Amino acid sequence: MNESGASRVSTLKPSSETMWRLIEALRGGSGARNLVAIRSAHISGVSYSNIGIAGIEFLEDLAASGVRVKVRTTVNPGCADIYANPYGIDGDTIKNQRRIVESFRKIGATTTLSCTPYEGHQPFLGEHIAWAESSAVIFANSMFGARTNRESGISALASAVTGKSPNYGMHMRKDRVPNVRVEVDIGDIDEARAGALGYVLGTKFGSTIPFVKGVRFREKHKVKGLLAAASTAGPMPLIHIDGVTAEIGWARRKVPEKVEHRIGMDEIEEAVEHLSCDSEEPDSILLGCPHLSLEEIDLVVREMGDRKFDRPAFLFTCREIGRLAKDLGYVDKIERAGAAIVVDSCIIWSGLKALGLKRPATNSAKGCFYLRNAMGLRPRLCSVRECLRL
Amino acid sequence: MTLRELKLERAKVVVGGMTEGEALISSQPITFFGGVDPETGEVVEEGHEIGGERLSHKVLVFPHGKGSTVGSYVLYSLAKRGVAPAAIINARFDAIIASGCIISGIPLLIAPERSLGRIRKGDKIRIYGRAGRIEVLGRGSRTRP
Repeated sequence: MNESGASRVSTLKPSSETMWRLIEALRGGSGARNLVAIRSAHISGVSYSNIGIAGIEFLEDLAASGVRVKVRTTVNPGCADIYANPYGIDGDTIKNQRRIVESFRKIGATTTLSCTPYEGHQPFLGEHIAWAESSAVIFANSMFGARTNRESGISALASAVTGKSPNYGMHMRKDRVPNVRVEVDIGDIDEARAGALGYVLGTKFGSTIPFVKGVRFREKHKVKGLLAAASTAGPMPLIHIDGVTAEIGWARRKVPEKVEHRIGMDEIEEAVEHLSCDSEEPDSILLGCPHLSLEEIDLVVREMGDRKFDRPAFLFTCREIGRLAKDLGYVDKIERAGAAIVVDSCIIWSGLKALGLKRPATNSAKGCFYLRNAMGLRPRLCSVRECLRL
Repeated sequence: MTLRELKLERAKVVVGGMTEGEALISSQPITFFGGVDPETGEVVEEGHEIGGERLSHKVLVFPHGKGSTVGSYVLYSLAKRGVAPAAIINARFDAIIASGCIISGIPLLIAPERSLGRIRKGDKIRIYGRAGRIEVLGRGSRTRP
Protein backbone atom coordinates (compact mmCIF):
# COMPACT_ATOMS: atom_id res chain seq x y z
CA MET A 1 0.00 0.00 0.00
CA ASN A 2 1.49 3.34 -0.97
CA GLU A 3 0.60 6.94 -0.31
CA SER A 4 -1.34 7.56 -3.47
CA GLY A 5 -3.42 4.55 -2.43
CA ALA A 6 -4.34 6.16 0.84
CA SER A 7 -5.41 9.35 -0.90
CA ARG A 8 -7.55 7.42 -3.38
CA VAL A 9 -9.56 5.71 -0.64
CA SER A 10 -11.09 8.92 0.60
CA THR A 11 -12.05 10.09 -2.89
CA LEU A 12 -14.09 7.02 -3.84
CA LYS A 13 -17.71 7.79 -3.09
CA PRO A 14 -20.19 6.08 -5.34
CA SER A 15 -23.52 7.91 -5.33
CA SER A 16 -26.67 8.21 -7.38
CA GLU A 17 -24.66 10.47 -9.73
CA THR A 18 -22.26 7.56 -10.30
CA MET A 19 -25.23 5.35 -11.17
CA TRP A 20 -26.55 7.95 -13.64
CA ARG A 21 -23.12 8.16 -15.27
CA LEU A 22 -23.09 4.38 -15.49
CA ILE A 23 -26.49 4.22 -17.20
CA GLU A 24 -25.47 6.99 -19.59
CA ALA A 25 -22.20 5.21 -20.47
CA LEU A 26 -24.01 1.92 -21.04
CA ARG A 27 -26.49 3.74 -23.28
CA GLY A 28 -23.62 5.18 -25.32
CA GLY A 29 -21.79 1.86 -25.47
CA SER A 30 -24.85 -0.06 -26.57
CA GLY A 31 -25.70 2.47 -29.27
CA ALA A 32 -29.13 3.12 -27.73
CA ARG A 33 -30.57 6.52 -28.65
CA ASN A 34 -32.42 7.05 -25.40
CA LEU A 35 -33.32 5.57 -22.05
CA VAL A 36 -36.59 3.84 -21.24
CA ALA A 37 -38.44 4.03 -17.90
CA ILE A 38 -38.57 0.66 -16.15
CA ARG A 39 -41.18 -0.72 -13.73
CA SER A 40 -38.98 -3.10 -11.74
CA ALA A 41 -35.37 -4.16 -11.29
CA HIS A 42 -33.85 -7.47 -10.26
CA ILE A 43 -30.24 -7.51 -9.09
CA SER A 44 -27.72 -10.36 -9.29
CA GLY A 45 -24.26 -10.45 -7.75
CA VAL A 46 -25.67 -10.88 -4.25
CA SER A 47 -23.83 -13.99 -3.12
CA TYR A 48 -20.73 -13.43 -1.01
CA SER A 49 -19.07 -16.42 -2.67
CA ASN A 50 -19.50 -14.57 -5.96
CA ILE A 51 -18.79 -10.87 -5.29
CA GLY A 52 -16.41 -11.26 -2.35
CA ILE A 53 -15.06 -8.43 -0.23
CA ALA A 54 -14.65 -6.24 -3.32
CA GLY A 55 -18.41 -6.31 -3.92
CA ILE A 56 -19.29 -5.75 -0.27
CA GLU A 57 -17.11 -2.66 -0.13
CA PHE A 58 -18.82 -1.15 -3.14
CA LEU A 59 -22.35 -1.93 -1.93
CA GLU A 60 -21.67 -0.58 1.55
CA ASP A 61 -20.12 2.61 0.13
CA LEU A 62 -23.09 3.07 -2.18
CA ALA A 63 -25.62 2.48 0.61
CA ALA A 64 -23.73 4.93 2.86
CA SER A 65 -24.18 7.66 0.24
CA GLY A 66 -27.91 7.57 0.91
CA VAL A 67 -29.10 6.41 -2.54
CA ARG A 68 -32.52 4.79 -2.73
CA VAL A 69 -34.08 2.67 -5.46
CA LYS A 70 -36.77 4.29 -7.60
CA VAL A 71 -38.68 1.15 -8.61
CA ARG A 72 -39.54 -2.16 -6.99
CA THR A 73 -36.23 -3.96 -6.70
CA THR A 74 -35.65 -7.60 -5.79
CA VAL A 75 -32.35 -9.44 -5.33
CA ASN A 76 -30.86 -12.83 -6.23
CA PRO A 77 -30.00 -15.53 -3.67
CA GLY A 78 -26.90 -15.41 -1.52
CA CYS A 79 -24.64 -18.33 -0.57
CA ALA A 80 -26.17 -19.18 2.83
CA ASP A 81 -29.18 -18.82 5.11
CA ILE A 82 -28.60 -15.46 6.80
CA TYR A 83 -30.36 -16.37 10.06
CA ALA A 84 -29.76 -20.06 10.72
CA ASN A 85 -26.65 -22.18 10.23
CA PRO A 86 -27.42 -25.83 10.93
CA TYR A 87 -24.85 -27.15 8.44
CA GLY A 88 -21.68 -25.63 9.84
CA ILE A 89 -20.93 -23.04 7.17
CA ASP A 90 -18.04 -20.90 8.37
CA GLY A 91 -19.06 -17.86 10.40
CA ASP A 92 -17.27 -15.29 8.25
CA THR A 93 -19.23 -16.37 5.19
CA ILE A 94 -22.54 -15.87 7.00
CA LYS A 95 -21.41 -12.55 8.46
CA ASN A 96 -20.32 -11.23 5.06
CA GLN A 97 -23.51 -12.47 3.41
CA ARG A 98 -25.48 -10.51 6.03
CA ARG A 99 -23.49 -7.34 5.27
CA ILE A 100 -24.51 -7.63 1.62
CA VAL A 101 -28.19 -8.14 2.47
CA GLU A 102 -28.05 -5.21 4.90
CA SER A 103 -26.65 -2.92 2.18
CA PHE A 104 -29.44 -3.86 -0.20
CA ARG A 105 -32.02 -3.19 2.51
CA LYS A 106 -30.48 0.23 3.10
CA ILE A 107 -30.90 1.24 -0.52
CA GLY A 108 -34.54 0.15 -0.38
CA ALA A 109 -34.45 -3.18 -2.21
CA THR A 110 -36.80 -5.99 -1.17
CA THR A 111 -34.30 -8.62 -0.12
CA THR A 112 -36.17 -11.60 -1.51
CA LEU A 113 -32.93 -13.55 -2.11
CA SER A 114 -34.77 -15.32 -4.88
CA CYS A 115 -33.79 -16.13 -8.47
CA THR A 116 -37.46 -16.31 -9.51
CA PRO A 117 -38.72 -12.73 -9.06
CA TYR A 118 -41.58 -13.57 -11.43
CA GLU A 119 -43.16 -15.69 -8.68
CA GLY A 120 -43.83 -12.49 -6.73
CA HIS A 121 -44.18 -9.94 -9.50
CA GLN A 122 -45.48 -10.88 -12.93
CA PRO A 123 -44.75 -8.12 -15.43
CA PHE A 124 -47.37 -7.25 -18.05
CA LEU A 125 -47.00 -7.84 -21.77
CA GLY A 126 -44.68 -5.15 -23.14
CA GLU A 127 -43.65 -3.86 -19.71
CA HIS A 128 -40.08 -2.54 -19.58
CA ILE A 129 -38.01 -3.92 -16.72
CA ALA A 130 -34.28 -4.21 -15.96
CA TRP A 131 -33.47 -7.65 -14.67
CA ALA A 132 -30.24 -9.50 -14.13
CA GLU A 133 -30.16 -13.30 -13.57
CA SER A 134 -30.28 -14.91 -16.99
CA SER A 135 -32.98 -17.46 -16.12
CA ALA A 136 -35.33 -14.73 -14.86
CA VAL A 137 -34.59 -12.57 -17.91
CA ILE A 138 -35.46 -15.30 -20.40
CA PHE A 139 -38.57 -16.28 -18.38
CA ALA A 140 -39.86 -12.68 -18.23
CA ASN A 141 -39.21 -12.02 -21.92
CA SER A 142 -40.61 -15.33 -23.14
CA MET A 143 -43.49 -16.15 -20.77
CA PHE A 144 -44.80 -12.63 -20.07
CA GLY A 145 -43.59 -10.74 -23.12
CA ALA A 146 -41.94 -8.29 -20.73
CA ARG A 147 -38.92 -6.41 -22.06
CA THR A 148 -35.48 -6.66 -20.53
CA ASN A 149 -31.96 -7.20 -21.74
CA ARG A 150 -29.64 -9.52 -19.87
CA GLU A 151 -28.45 -7.02 -17.30
CA SER A 152 -25.43 -7.50 -15.07
CA GLY A 153 -25.69 -7.10 -11.29
CA ILE A 154 -24.27 -3.61 -11.48
CA SER A 155 -26.27 -2.40 -14.50
CA ALA A 156 -29.50 -3.65 -12.88
CA LEU A 157 -28.47 -1.82 -9.70
CA ALA A 158 -27.92 1.38 -11.70
CA SER A 159 -31.36 0.92 -13.30
CA ALA A 160 -32.94 0.40 -9.87
CA VAL A 161 -31.47 3.68 -8.65
CA THR A 162 -32.21 5.71 -11.79
CA GLY A 163 -35.43 4.00 -12.87
CA LYS A 164 -34.07 3.82 -16.42
CA SER A 165 -32.49 1.34 -18.81
CA PRO A 166 -30.82 1.92 -22.21
CA ASN A 167 -33.45 1.49 -24.92
CA TYR A 168 -32.06 -1.20 -27.24
CA GLY A 169 -32.21 -4.95 -27.84
CA MET A 170 -35.08 -6.66 -26.02
CA HIS A 171 -36.75 -3.29 -25.35
CA MET A 172 -37.36 -2.91 -29.11
CA ARG A 173 -39.90 -5.08 -30.87
CA LYS A 174 -37.72 -5.44 -33.98
CA ASP A 175 -35.02 -7.26 -32.01
CA ARG A 176 -37.54 -9.73 -30.57
CA VAL A 177 -38.46 -11.18 -33.96
CA PRO A 178 -37.58 -14.88 -34.22
CA ASN A 179 -34.89 -15.54 -36.81
CA VAL A 180 -34.44 -19.30 -36.66
CA ARG A 181 -37.07 -22.02 -36.86
CA VAL A 182 -36.39 -25.17 -34.86
CA GLU A 183 -38.65 -28.22 -34.76
CA VAL A 184 -38.71 -30.61 -31.87
CA ASP A 185 -39.76 -34.20 -32.43
CA ILE A 186 -40.34 -35.62 -28.97
CA GLY A 187 -43.22 -36.84 -26.85
CA ASP A 188 -43.86 -35.81 -23.27
CA ILE A 189 -40.55 -35.61 -21.41
CA ASP A 190 -39.65 -35.18 -17.73
CA GLU A 191 -38.28 -31.94 -16.27
CA ALA A 192 -34.64 -33.07 -16.43
CA ARG A 193 -34.96 -33.75 -20.15
CA ALA A 194 -36.85 -30.49 -20.71
CA GLY A 195 -33.76 -28.81 -19.27
CA ALA A 196 -31.51 -30.86 -21.55
CA LEU A 197 -33.61 -29.69 -24.51
CA GLY A 198 -33.01 -26.11 -23.36
CA TYR A 199 -29.32 -26.83 -23.13
CA VAL A 200 -29.29 -28.07 -26.74
CA LEU A 201 -31.14 -24.93 -27.87
CA GLY A 202 -28.75 -22.66 -25.99
CA THR A 203 -25.67 -24.43 -27.31
CA LYS A 204 -26.81 -24.46 -30.93
CA PHE A 205 -28.83 -21.24 -31.21
CA GLY A 206 -27.56 -19.10 -28.34
CA SER A 207 -26.93 -16.03 -30.46
CA THR A 208 -30.33 -16.13 -32.18
CA ILE A 209 -33.96 -15.63 -31.19
CA PRO A 210 -35.34 -19.12 -31.89
CA PHE A 211 -38.90 -20.11 -32.71
CA VAL A 212 -39.49 -23.64 -31.43
CA LYS A 213 -42.32 -25.82 -32.69
CA GLY A 214 -43.31 -29.24 -31.41
CA VAL A 215 -42.85 -28.88 -27.66
CA ARG A 216 -45.64 -31.06 -26.26
CA PHE A 217 -45.45 -30.39 -22.54
CA ARG A 218 -47.29 -27.47 -20.96
CA GLU A 219 -46.16 -27.68 -17.32
CA LYS A 220 -44.69 -24.41 -16.08
CA HIS A 221 -41.81 -26.04 -14.20
CA LYS A 222 -40.64 -27.86 -17.33
CA VAL A 223 -40.70 -24.67 -19.39
CA LYS A 224 -38.84 -22.91 -16.59
CA GLY A 225 -36.13 -25.61 -16.61
CA LEU A 226 -35.89 -25.46 -20.40
CA LEU A 227 -35.47 -21.68 -20.47
CA ALA A 228 -32.99 -21.62 -17.58
CA ALA A 229 -30.75 -24.19 -19.26
CA ALA A 230 -30.97 -22.43 -22.63
CA SER A 231 -29.80 -19.13 -21.15
CA THR A 232 -26.99 -20.92 -19.33
CA ALA A 233 -25.65 -22.53 -22.50
CA GLY A 234 -26.08 -19.45 -24.70
CA PRO A 235 -26.58 -15.70 -24.40
CA MET A 236 -30.16 -15.76 -25.72
CA PRO A 237 -32.62 -13.56 -23.79
CA LEU A 238 -35.82 -14.90 -25.42
CA ILE A 239 -37.24 -18.05 -27.01
CA HIS A 240 -40.62 -18.20 -28.72
CA ILE A 241 -42.21 -21.62 -28.08
CA ASP A 242 -45.28 -22.49 -30.09
CA GLY A 243 -48.30 -22.92 -27.83
CA VAL A 244 -46.40 -21.75 -24.77
CA THR A 245 -44.89 -18.26 -24.82
CA ALA A 246 -46.55 -14.84 -24.70
CA GLU A 247 -45.78 -13.31 -28.10
CA ILE A 248 -46.22 -16.48 -30.11
CA GLY A 249 -49.05 -15.01 -32.21
CA TRP A 250 -46.99 -12.43 -34.06
CA ALA A 251 -43.79 -14.50 -33.75
CA ARG A 252 -45.49 -17.21 -35.82
CA ARG A 253 -46.15 -14.70 -38.60
CA LYS A 254 -42.57 -13.37 -38.60
CA VAL A 255 -40.49 -16.55 -38.38
CA PRO A 256 -38.69 -17.82 -41.51
CA GLU A 257 -40.39 -20.82 -43.18
CA LYS A 258 -37.22 -22.86 -43.51
CA VAL A 259 -36.61 -25.37 -40.72
CA GLU A 260 -33.04 -24.83 -39.55
CA HIS A 261 -32.80 -27.84 -37.28
CA ARG A 262 -34.80 -30.78 -35.90
CA ILE A 263 -34.19 -31.99 -32.38
CA GLY A 264 -35.03 -35.59 -31.54
CA MET A 265 -34.84 -37.70 -28.39
CA ASP A 266 -31.32 -38.95 -29.20
CA GLU A 267 -29.91 -35.44 -29.10
CA ILE A 268 -31.62 -34.79 -25.76
CA GLU A 269 -30.24 -37.99 -24.19
CA GLU A 270 -26.80 -37.02 -25.50
CA ALA A 271 -27.11 -33.70 -23.65
CA VAL A 272 -28.18 -35.52 -20.46
CA GLU A 273 -24.99 -37.64 -20.74
CA HIS A 274 -22.89 -34.56 -21.41
CA LEU A 275 -24.28 -32.67 -18.40
CA SER A 276 -23.85 -35.66 -16.07
CA CYS A 277 -20.39 -36.67 -14.90
CA ASP A 278 -19.26 -40.28 -14.35
CA SER A 279 -21.57 -43.07 -13.30
CA GLU A 280 -20.51 -43.21 -9.65
CA GLU A 281 -23.38 -43.22 -7.17
CA PRO A 282 -24.61 -39.70 -6.28
CA ASP A 283 -23.99 -38.74 -2.63
CA SER A 284 -26.81 -36.18 -2.36
CA ILE A 285 -29.87 -34.72 -4.05
CA LEU A 286 -30.33 -31.02 -4.84
CA LEU A 287 -33.62 -29.66 -6.16
CA GLY A 288 -34.53 -26.08 -6.97
CA CYS A 289 -32.39 -24.45 -9.64
CA PRO A 290 -34.06 -22.06 -10.39
CA HIS A 291 -35.79 -21.84 -6.99
CA LEU A 292 -38.78 -24.13 -6.44
CA SER A 293 -42.20 -22.55 -6.66
CA LEU A 294 -44.95 -23.66 -4.30
CA GLU A 295 -46.36 -25.64 -7.20
CA GLU A 296 -43.09 -27.52 -7.62
CA ILE A 297 -42.81 -28.20 -3.89
CA ASP A 298 -46.26 -29.73 -4.14
CA LEU A 299 -45.09 -31.84 -7.11
CA VAL A 300 -42.06 -33.12 -5.18
CA VAL A 301 -44.19 -33.96 -2.15
CA ARG A 302 -46.70 -35.86 -4.29
CA GLU A 303 -43.90 -37.67 -6.12
CA MET A 304 -42.44 -38.65 -2.73
CA GLY A 305 -45.61 -40.36 -1.54
CA ASP A 306 -44.43 -42.63 1.26
CA ARG A 307 -40.88 -42.85 -0.06
CA LYS A 308 -37.93 -41.47 1.83
CA PHE A 309 -34.77 -39.87 0.51
CA ASP A 310 -31.96 -42.31 1.30
CA ARG A 311 -29.18 -39.69 1.10
CA PRO A 312 -28.87 -36.01 2.05
CA ALA A 313 -31.48 -34.09 0.05
CA PHE A 314 -31.97 -30.31 -0.11
CA LEU A 315 -34.78 -28.31 -1.68
CA PHE A 316 -33.87 -24.72 -2.55
CA THR A 317 -36.39 -21.92 -2.55
CA CYS A 318 -36.73 -18.37 -1.28
CA ARG A 319 -37.66 -17.43 2.28
CA GLU A 320 -41.13 -16.27 1.23
CA ILE A 321 -42.10 -19.57 -0.41
CA GLY A 322 -40.29 -21.61 2.26
CA ARG A 323 -42.40 -19.91 4.88
CA LEU A 324 -45.57 -20.52 2.93
CA ALA A 325 -44.62 -24.18 2.44
CA LYS A 326 -44.15 -24.51 6.19
CA ASP A 327 -47.53 -22.94 6.97
CA LEU A 328 -49.21 -25.23 4.46
CA GLY A 329 -47.68 -28.37 5.97
CA TYR A 330 -45.29 -29.24 3.14
CA VAL A 331 -42.12 -28.72 5.15
CA ASP A 332 -43.17 -31.29 7.78
CA LYS A 333 -43.75 -33.87 5.07
CA ILE A 334 -40.43 -33.05 3.40
CA GLU A 335 -38.54 -33.33 6.67
CA ARG A 336 -40.23 -36.60 7.55
CA ALA A 337 -38.98 -37.95 4.20
CA GLY A 338 -35.42 -37.05 5.22
CA ALA A 339 -35.01 -33.90 3.14
CA ALA A 340 -34.60 -30.24 4.12
CA ILE A 341 -35.65 -26.89 2.72
CA VAL A 342 -32.84 -24.35 2.28
CA VAL A 343 -33.69 -20.65 1.91
CA ASP A 344 -31.73 -17.46 1.00
CA SER A 345 -29.30 -19.52 -1.06
CA CYS A 346 -29.23 -21.45 -4.33
CA ILE A 347 -27.63 -24.75 -5.24
CA ILE A 348 -24.30 -22.96 -5.58
CA TRP A 349 -24.45 -23.16 -1.80
CA SER A 350 -21.69 -22.79 0.78
CA GLY A 351 -23.28 -25.74 2.62
CA LEU A 352 -22.08 -28.18 -0.07
CA LYS A 353 -18.48 -27.50 0.91
CA ALA A 354 -19.26 -27.54 4.63
CA LEU A 355 -20.93 -30.95 4.26
CA GLY A 356 -18.24 -32.26 1.91
CA LEU A 357 -20.69 -33.27 -0.83
CA LYS A 358 -19.09 -34.16 -4.15
CA ARG A 359 -21.56 -35.96 -6.41
CA PRO A 360 -25.01 -34.37 -6.21
CA ALA A 361 -27.91 -35.55 -8.32
CA THR A 362 -30.16 -32.73 -9.53
CA ASN A 363 -33.12 -32.36 -11.87
CA SER A 364 -31.71 -29.07 -13.17
CA ALA A 365 -29.65 -28.92 -16.36
CA LYS A 366 -28.58 -25.39 -15.43
CA GLY A 367 -27.66 -26.64 -11.97
CA CYS A 368 -25.47 -29.40 -13.44
CA PHE A 369 -23.56 -26.85 -15.44
CA TYR A 370 -22.81 -24.64 -12.44
CA LEU A 371 -22.18 -27.43 -9.94
CA ARG A 372 -19.52 -28.67 -12.30
CA ASN A 373 -18.01 -25.42 -13.56
CA ALA A 374 -18.38 -23.09 -10.57
CA MET A 375 -18.11 -25.61 -7.72
CA GLY A 376 -15.92 -28.32 -9.26
CA LEU A 377 -18.38 -31.08 -8.29
CA ARG A 378 -19.48 -34.14 -10.26
CA PRO A 379 -23.25 -33.81 -10.70
CA ARG A 380 -25.73 -36.16 -12.34
CA LEU A 381 -28.84 -34.98 -14.16
CA CYS A 382 -31.99 -36.93 -13.30
CA SER A 383 -35.65 -36.19 -12.71
CA VAL A 384 -37.25 -36.01 -9.26
CA ARG A 385 -38.73 -39.44 -9.92
CA GLU A 386 -35.28 -40.84 -10.74
CA CYS A 387 -33.76 -39.07 -7.73
CA LEU A 388 -36.21 -40.91 -5.48
CA ARG A 389 -35.21 -44.25 -6.99
CA LEU A 390 -31.42 -43.97 -7.22
CA MET B 1 12.49 14.30 -22.94
CA THR B 2 14.37 14.22 -26.24
CA LEU B 3 11.96 11.94 -28.01
CA ARG B 4 9.33 13.54 -30.13
CA GLU B 5 5.80 13.12 -28.87
CA LEU B 6 3.69 10.60 -30.69
CA LYS B 7 0.13 11.77 -31.03
CA LEU B 8 -2.50 9.14 -31.59
CA GLU B 9 -5.88 9.36 -33.19
CA ARG B 10 -8.52 10.84 -30.93
CA ALA B 11 -10.17 8.23 -28.72
CA LYS B 12 -13.73 7.98 -27.45
CA VAL B 13 -13.98 8.94 -23.79
CA VAL B 14 -16.00 6.78 -21.41
CA VAL B 15 -14.46 8.09 -18.18
CA GLY B 16 -12.52 11.33 -18.30
CA GLY B 17 -9.49 12.45 -16.31
CA MET B 18 -5.94 13.56 -17.00
CA THR B 19 -3.29 11.04 -16.05
CA GLU B 20 0.11 9.60 -16.91
CA GLY B 21 1.61 6.15 -16.66
CA GLU B 22 3.72 3.44 -18.19
CA ALA B 23 1.98 1.34 -20.83
CA LEU B 24 1.20 -2.30 -20.08
CA ILE B 25 -0.15 -4.10 -23.10
CA SER B 26 -2.15 -7.29 -23.54
CA SER B 27 -3.37 -8.49 -26.91
CA GLN B 28 -5.66 -10.91 -25.04
CA PRO B 29 -8.92 -9.92 -23.32
CA ILE B 30 -8.73 -9.62 -19.53
CA THR B 31 -11.12 -11.01 -16.93
CA PHE B 32 -10.84 -9.10 -13.69
CA PHE B 33 -12.95 -11.57 -11.69
CA GLY B 34 -10.69 -14.53 -11.09
CA GLY B 35 -8.02 -13.14 -13.39
CA VAL B 36 -6.67 -10.28 -11.24
CA ASP B 37 -5.97 -10.31 -7.50
CA PRO B 38 -8.39 -7.73 -6.03
CA GLU B 39 -5.96 -6.84 -3.22
CA THR B 40 -2.69 -6.46 -5.13
CA GLY B 41 -3.61 -5.89 -8.76
CA GLU B 42 -1.46 -8.79 -9.91
CA VAL B 43 -2.63 -10.66 -13.02
CA VAL B 44 -3.14 -14.21 -11.75
CA GLU B 45 -4.96 -15.86 -14.66
CA GLU B 46 -3.02 -18.96 -15.57
CA GLY B 47 -1.33 -18.79 -18.95
CA HIS B 48 -2.29 -15.16 -19.53
CA GLU B 49 0.07 -13.17 -21.70
CA ILE B 50 0.64 -10.58 -18.94
CA GLY B 51 0.40 -13.10 -16.07
CA GLY B 52 2.45 -12.01 -13.04
CA GLU B 53 2.43 -8.32 -14.02
CA ARG B 54 1.00 -5.74 -11.63
CA LEU B 55 -1.55 -3.29 -13.01
CA SER B 56 -0.93 -0.58 -10.42
CA HIS B 57 -0.46 2.89 -11.92
CA LYS B 58 -0.04 1.46 -15.43
CA VAL B 59 -1.87 2.63 -18.50
CA LEU B 60 -3.43 -0.70 -19.30
CA VAL B 61 -4.05 -1.39 -22.98
CA PHE B 62 -6.12 -4.43 -24.02
CA PRO B 63 -8.86 -5.18 -26.56
CA HIS B 64 -11.85 -5.75 -24.23
CA GLY B 65 -13.00 -7.55 -21.10
CA LYS B 66 -14.22 -11.12 -20.74
CA GLY B 67 -15.78 -13.33 -18.07
CA SER B 68 -17.98 -12.57 -15.09
CA THR B 69 -19.70 -9.21 -14.70
CA VAL B 70 -18.47 -9.22 -11.10
CA GLY B 71 -15.17 -8.01 -12.60
CA SER B 72 -16.47 -4.45 -12.17
CA TYR B 73 -16.19 -4.82 -8.39
CA VAL B 74 -12.60 -6.02 -8.66
CA LEU B 75 -11.65 -2.74 -10.34
CA TYR B 76 -13.36 -0.94 -7.45
CA SER B 77 -11.37 -2.98 -4.94
CA LEU B 78 -8.11 -2.08 -6.71
CA ALA B 79 -9.00 1.61 -6.70
CA LYS B 80 -9.85 1.52 -3.00
CA ARG B 81 -6.46 0.04 -2.25
CA GLY B 82 -4.60 2.43 -4.51
CA VAL B 83 -3.39 -0.33 -6.82
CA ALA B 84 -5.68 0.33 -9.78
CA PRO B 85 -4.37 1.05 -13.26
CA ALA B 86 -3.81 4.79 -13.90
CA ALA B 87 -6.05 4.45 -16.95
CA ILE B 88 -7.44 1.82 -19.30
CA ILE B 89 -7.49 1.97 -23.09
CA ASN B 90 -9.71 -0.59 -24.83
CA ALA B 91 -10.35 -1.27 -28.51
CA ARG B 92 -14.00 -2.03 -27.94
CA PHE B 93 -16.62 -0.82 -25.47
CA ASP B 94 -17.20 -3.50 -22.86
CA ALA B 95 -19.92 -3.11 -20.23
CA ILE B 96 -17.97 -4.87 -17.46
CA ILE B 97 -14.85 -2.76 -17.87
CA ALA B 98 -16.86 0.44 -18.38
CA SER B 99 -18.98 -0.19 -15.25
CA GLY B 100 -15.86 -0.93 -13.22
CA CYS B 101 -14.06 2.21 -14.40
CA ILE B 102 -17.07 4.45 -13.75
CA ILE B 103 -17.60 3.32 -10.15
CA SER B 104 -13.85 3.46 -9.51
CA GLY B 105 -13.03 6.73 -11.26
CA ILE B 106 -10.46 5.11 -13.55
CA PRO B 107 -10.11 7.01 -16.86
CA LEU B 108 -11.29 4.81 -19.74
CA LEU B 109 -10.81 5.49 -23.44
CA ILE B 110 -11.85 3.50 -26.48
CA ALA B 111 -9.30 3.85 -29.27
CA PRO B 112 -9.14 2.28 -32.72
CA GLU B 113 -7.02 -0.86 -32.88
CA ARG B 114 -4.54 0.68 -35.33
CA SER B 115 -3.87 3.39 -32.76
CA LEU B 116 -3.34 0.86 -29.99
CA GLY B 117 -0.88 -1.00 -32.21
CA ARG B 118 1.44 1.98 -32.09
CA ILE B 119 1.79 1.86 -28.31
CA ARG B 120 4.64 -0.27 -26.97
CA LYS B 121 5.13 -1.84 -23.57
CA GLY B 122 6.81 0.60 -21.23
CA ASP B 123 5.94 3.70 -23.26
CA LYS B 124 5.25 6.70 -21.12
CA ILE B 125 1.68 7.70 -21.88
CA ARG B 126 -0.23 10.83 -21.07
CA ILE B 127 -3.99 10.90 -21.32
CA TYR B 128 -6.11 14.00 -21.63
CA GLY B 129 -9.34 12.38 -20.58
CA ARG B 130 -11.89 15.02 -21.49
CA ALA B 131 -10.61 15.46 -25.03
CA GLY B 132 -9.78 11.81 -25.63
CA ARG B 133 -6.19 12.70 -26.48
CA ILE B 134 -3.48 10.07 -25.98
CA GLU B 135 0.16 11.09 -26.19
CA VAL B 136 3.26 8.94 -26.06
CA LEU B 137 5.85 11.00 -24.21
CA GLY B 138 8.64 8.46 -24.10
CA ARG B 139 9.34 5.16 -25.76
CA GLY B 140 9.60 1.86 -23.93
CA SER B 141 11.04 -1.41 -25.20
CA ARG B 142 11.07 -2.11 -28.94
CA THR B 143 9.89 -5.66 -28.56
CA ARG B 144 6.14 -6.05 -28.49
CA PRO B 145 4.89 -8.82 -26.27
